[in-house]
Amino acid sequence: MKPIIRETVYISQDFGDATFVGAIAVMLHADKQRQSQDLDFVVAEQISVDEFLDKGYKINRQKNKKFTPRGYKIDVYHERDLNGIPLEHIIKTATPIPVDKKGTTVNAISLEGLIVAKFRAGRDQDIEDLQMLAIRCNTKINWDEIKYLAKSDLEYSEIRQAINLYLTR
Amino acid sequence: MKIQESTLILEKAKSAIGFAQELPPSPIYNVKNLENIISLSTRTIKRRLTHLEELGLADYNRGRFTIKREVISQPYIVLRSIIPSLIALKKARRFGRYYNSTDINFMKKHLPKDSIITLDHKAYELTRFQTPLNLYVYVNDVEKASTLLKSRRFREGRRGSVILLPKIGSFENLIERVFLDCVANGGRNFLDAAAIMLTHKGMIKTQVRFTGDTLLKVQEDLSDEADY
Repeated sequence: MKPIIRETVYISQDFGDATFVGAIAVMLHADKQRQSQDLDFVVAEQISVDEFLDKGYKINRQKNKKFTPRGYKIDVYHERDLNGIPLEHIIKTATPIPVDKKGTTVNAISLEGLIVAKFRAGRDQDIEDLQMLAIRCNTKINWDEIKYLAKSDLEYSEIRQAINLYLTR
Repeated sequence: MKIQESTLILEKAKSAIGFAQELPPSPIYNVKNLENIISLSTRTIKRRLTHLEELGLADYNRGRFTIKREVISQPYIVLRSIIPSLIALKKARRFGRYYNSTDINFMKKHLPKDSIITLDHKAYELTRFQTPLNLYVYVNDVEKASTLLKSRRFREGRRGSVILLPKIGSFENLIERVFLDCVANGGRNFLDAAAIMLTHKGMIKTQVRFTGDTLLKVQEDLSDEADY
């Protein structure tokens, strides 16, 4: 298991409903992608400073940064939407992803939520992530869910066209 | 490749780059919808896209296309500096056998003489910023290197992780060259470029334009060790 994936397992053990988003979610869904040493996840309720410290996490108050006991930087979301997708929806529709052969799983934002979030972010690195998801996960996409998450028919149609275009690369 | 050659290539693509720079930000464009936004005919838009595709700056298929926005929005002098990287990347050939890290380990053990590793793996070695994925290698003779891989049952295609590049342009300042390759390849490599600029400032002469958000994100993730 890659060290960063092992880290997601430890975080999930510490905070049960942690749902991973961002680049690490791309890596979990696609089983491949580049990743910097930070992990973004969503939780239903705010985790207190004491709870972090009790579990061995380190907090740099000056720079407002949090680290796991093994030194990975974490960004925890508990109130803000993620590119227009409500956090409750992300947690409710989270996908358990198997990370080893013993049945260990970690929760990641659904493939459809990830695609919509990446499409809305729209930076070049997000487009590269979308290309990776298109190539590796195309057959698993639930287009009805994308339609539900899209703000309009136009956005839905653009996401569909984008995924089809990225598949041809 | 000399500066004059790069200038010539860039001159040829000037109107295409100007067209791309004027597009509103979007992950995907539809040629038909663009006719109303920018006053160009479909035929002219397609001609512009062909020029961009020749430099690997756009992907077009059936009326839809995507562009490397962060690359295209660079100043003229930067674009001229990355022309050798763009052309080398356009001529890249991909190979895979098991389509996992075994392929990369094999290539690392059998690197041709005078080959140079760039992009993902070199950027990771320089910055430790992002884990690497593909192994990009400049070789003197792409044909010879591909024959070696094929003799070891590698197949050429679009999905392999071992990528052979022809040596085009200058490799005198290797860090600067890796930096320019990262700029030219765009996407996640553009973040590598920002990381190289922040960690090897003295070695980088080309003034690439990064957004504040990009620099802030990279700086935050780079400085973790010291902050921990």
